[in-house]
Order: sequence, then structure tokens, then C-alpha cells
Amino acid sequence: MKKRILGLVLCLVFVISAVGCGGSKTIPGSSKATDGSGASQSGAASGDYAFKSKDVTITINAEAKDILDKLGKALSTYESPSCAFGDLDVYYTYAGFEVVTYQEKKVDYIKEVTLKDDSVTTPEGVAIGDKVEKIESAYGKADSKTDTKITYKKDKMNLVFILKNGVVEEIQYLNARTK
Amino acid sequence: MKKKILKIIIPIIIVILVLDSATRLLMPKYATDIVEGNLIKEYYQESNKDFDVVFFGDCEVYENFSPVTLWEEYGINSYIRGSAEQYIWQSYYLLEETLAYHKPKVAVFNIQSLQFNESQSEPYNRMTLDGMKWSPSKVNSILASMKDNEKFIDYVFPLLRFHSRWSELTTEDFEYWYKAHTVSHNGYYMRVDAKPAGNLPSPKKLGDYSFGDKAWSYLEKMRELCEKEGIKLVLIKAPSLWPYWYEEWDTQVKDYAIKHKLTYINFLEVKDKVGLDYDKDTYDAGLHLNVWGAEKMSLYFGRILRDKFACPDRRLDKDLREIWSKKVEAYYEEIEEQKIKYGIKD
Repeated sequence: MKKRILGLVLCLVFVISAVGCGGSKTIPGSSKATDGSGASQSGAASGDYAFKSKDVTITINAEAKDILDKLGKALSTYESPSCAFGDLDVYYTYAGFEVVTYQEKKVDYIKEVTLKDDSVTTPEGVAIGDKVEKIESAYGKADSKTDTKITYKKDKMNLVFILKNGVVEEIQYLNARTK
Repeated sequence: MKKKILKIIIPIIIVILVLDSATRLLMPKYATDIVEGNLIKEYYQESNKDFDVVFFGDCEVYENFSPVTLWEEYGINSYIRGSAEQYIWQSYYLLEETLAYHKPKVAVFNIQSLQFNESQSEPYNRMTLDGMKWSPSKVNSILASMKDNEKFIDYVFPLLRFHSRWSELTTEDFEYWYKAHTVSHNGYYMRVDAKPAGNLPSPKKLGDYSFGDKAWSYLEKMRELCEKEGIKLVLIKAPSLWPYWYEEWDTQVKDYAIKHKLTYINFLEVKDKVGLDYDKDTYDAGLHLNVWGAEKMSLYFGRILRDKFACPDRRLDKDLREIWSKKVEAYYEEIEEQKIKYGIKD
């Protein structure tokens, strides 16, 4: 009898361990940044589109500290804690563009870069106010295109052009998970 | 024969008890950290669920309205069934489940979650769904919420999801292994500290401002259920300054409310009438209100609930008065405790 119970318990423990250990999921609370798949978004991939401000290259999902240090003091900052989890998204506003960081395991990474006016351009030469044709000649065929949005996709990031009447209204370098 | 049956049944019972015990130990307790994970579960502890007003939605309901103020000022018996990043399908199924316990006169829904057409995060799913008692509503809510990489079986047997927490267990896990605890005041999460709103970033432009089909379909289901049950559905947008609430989104909700003759209150538009001061009434720079802001909101909204929706003053109900006297006491005790914690002087 005792052997049977012990055997059953051990079997169950084994099955649960085997089933559950397929992924490295974080528990609710340990990180908002993981979506349960165990796949971390942090770490920039080579070949991603990146914005350059003077000599500073700002790559999505790259660690933020060095980049922010090189960019210097922002015109303004805004901290937006996530619901319940408390990890921070921080918005840094600079002349002509904005950088947003996210936290994963207490480390800050670049989440978004948004070009807000025509004082800055992408390294490929597109700026706010340019026409759709200029985007296509600089970047080629888009992965998705509507009258109001053109998207170029990479593995962990998207480059998005928001359009109004066929003209670029805003340029966004986004973490692939950003809505 | 009897002995033979016992030989089979006893091991099964023991295994079930061991698994149940392990599950209770390993599941997050949300007692002192990320307490929002406890909000959904707490509702079931209420001995009298005869609430006239029930709120549904995300942090914009459970941090911006104070049921204690609604009771003290208007005698309105209310509860907030809110949870962190509660998606609209979860709100719908919580409303449906609530009806198994009682029928409120008014259901208040914060429409912020209309922007999501799919669940965004498994941890947020768990915070809402794990707290629900098993029912057809919970099953349907799980099915509507699961992301591609989630499995239904993980919700049925949470041990499959949380077994790896064994190496991270803290004293809190043992303290609340079998013990229930309360972190809210009828679903309200309190903060007394203040952090001025300051400079908000400019909102990111979107390529498409229309809400998704799935989100719309659950708002429609919510409206139809309320209509069928004779419950007045009130749509609100809480006065959170961030994340940004686009005018294009607001127009869609206004049009829907007009079409279906629903009341929609965008509190961002009446924040001055409410008397909100974003230097003093928010604890996180405009995302959520602190208790002082939540009390102002409740004063303002309570008047509407009383005058427009005829929510009764139940302060003469002896049983309710007794229940609320304990709740009110706990509420003011926590205000004082938090004042000490955050170094706030009167």
C-alpha cells in the first residue's frame, strides 16, 4: 500500500516536472516583459533598422544605459510604471525625437524611437513631410502597406511610417511587440 | 471487496491532497508584492454580495473609485471587480459570473481595454483568471484570453505552470499557504502618496484608430447581457492622463453610446468639475489616482448614480450597516498606516 502511494506520487512529480520544464516561463510578477513564451525581447539583432542622432546609434532592444549617456540630458522625461508589476517605461524627449525604454529583469532596454519633426531624418534619408515614393526608394518593398501606415519588419523590431494624405507624419522604430 | 476498494481509493485521495497542497504552496500569493493579483479572488470572500453597483475593467477602475466613499456619502453598496490590464472579454465573463451571485442595478465598465483585440500578456491573464472560481464563465474567459503559447491544461492544473517556483518560495508563500487575506477595500486598491503629473510625452500616432472586431463583439455581448437582465450599463473612461486616450477612440465610444442609448462619461472631459488636481491627486504622475483623487471621483460619480440611475441609499439596512462599519474602519486604518509608510503629515 505505502509503496503504491509513494510510486504514484513520484510518477506525478516526474510527469509535472517533465511537462512544465519545456519553457523558461517567468511567474506573474517577475517580469512583464516576457509574454510567457520564455522568449526575451532584449538584445538587438544585427541588420535591424536603427536611428542615428549625431554619432549615437539607437537600436531597438539594445541596452539603454550607454545610449542614454551618449545622448546627454533629455529635454524632459516621463516615467510610466506598468500596471501592477511596477517596472518602468521611461519616455525621453529630445529635439526632434523621443526615446522610450522598457525594463526587463531590472535592466533598461530601448523600446521605441519616434521621429517627431523634420529636424531629424532616418539614416536612409527619410524625414517627416516626405512622400511615400521616397520611402519606397530608400527602403524597397514594404512588408505591409495601407493608406496610413507602411511597415518594414525585422525579427524583433518594426520600422513604421505613419502617413497622412500620402505624406510621412511620424516615423517609429518599434519593439516588435509594441502595438 | 471493501478492502480492495479502499486500497484503490486511499492512494488516489492522498495523491490529490498532495497535489492540491503543492499547488496552493507554489501559486503566487500576491500578499505583499503585486497585490493586484489578489483582487479577483477577494470578491468571493464577501459574505453579502447584494451590490447595487459593480465596476468592471482594468486598473483605471480599481484605483480611481472608492466604494467606501460611495457608501459613506450616498449609501451606495458597490464593489469593484477590476484587475490589472483586464481585457474586455475578461470583463464580460466576470459580469456573467457575477450574475450567478447577484444582479446589480448598474454595471460600470471602463472602456480603456477596447484598444486591445487580443490578450497582450500571459502574466496579466493569470492575474485575472487564476483568481476566478471554476465556472463556465471562467472556462470561456480562459479560452477567449489564451495567447498562442498558452495551454488550457495549465489553468486547470496551475502546478504545471508554477512548479518551477519551488526555488523562489518566500516566507509569504508559507504564511498564506492556506490562509486568505485581504488587500483591497471592496476591490479598491489604495495609495495615499502623491507624485505630480508633470510633463507628459506626446502620444504616438497610430496608423489605424479603429477598435478590433473581437473587442467590439464583447462590448456588444456585455450590452446585450445587461439589457436582457435589466441592468443599466454605464460606460466610463477614467481620468488617467496616461496611457493616452485618443480622440478618435473616444468618438467611436460616443457614437456607440448614442446608438444604443447608453450613458458614457469620459472623466477626462469633466476632470475640472470633479475637482482633480494632478499635482496632488495622483501617486504615479497621472496614470492612477491616489485615495484623495479616488474620493473626489466617487463623490462626483455617486451623485450621478443616485440621481440618474436611482441607486438606493442603503444606510438604513442594519445588516449592511454592520458590514460597512468594519469596512470603513479598515479603510481609515489603512490610510493612517500608509501615511506613516510614505511619511505624509496632515
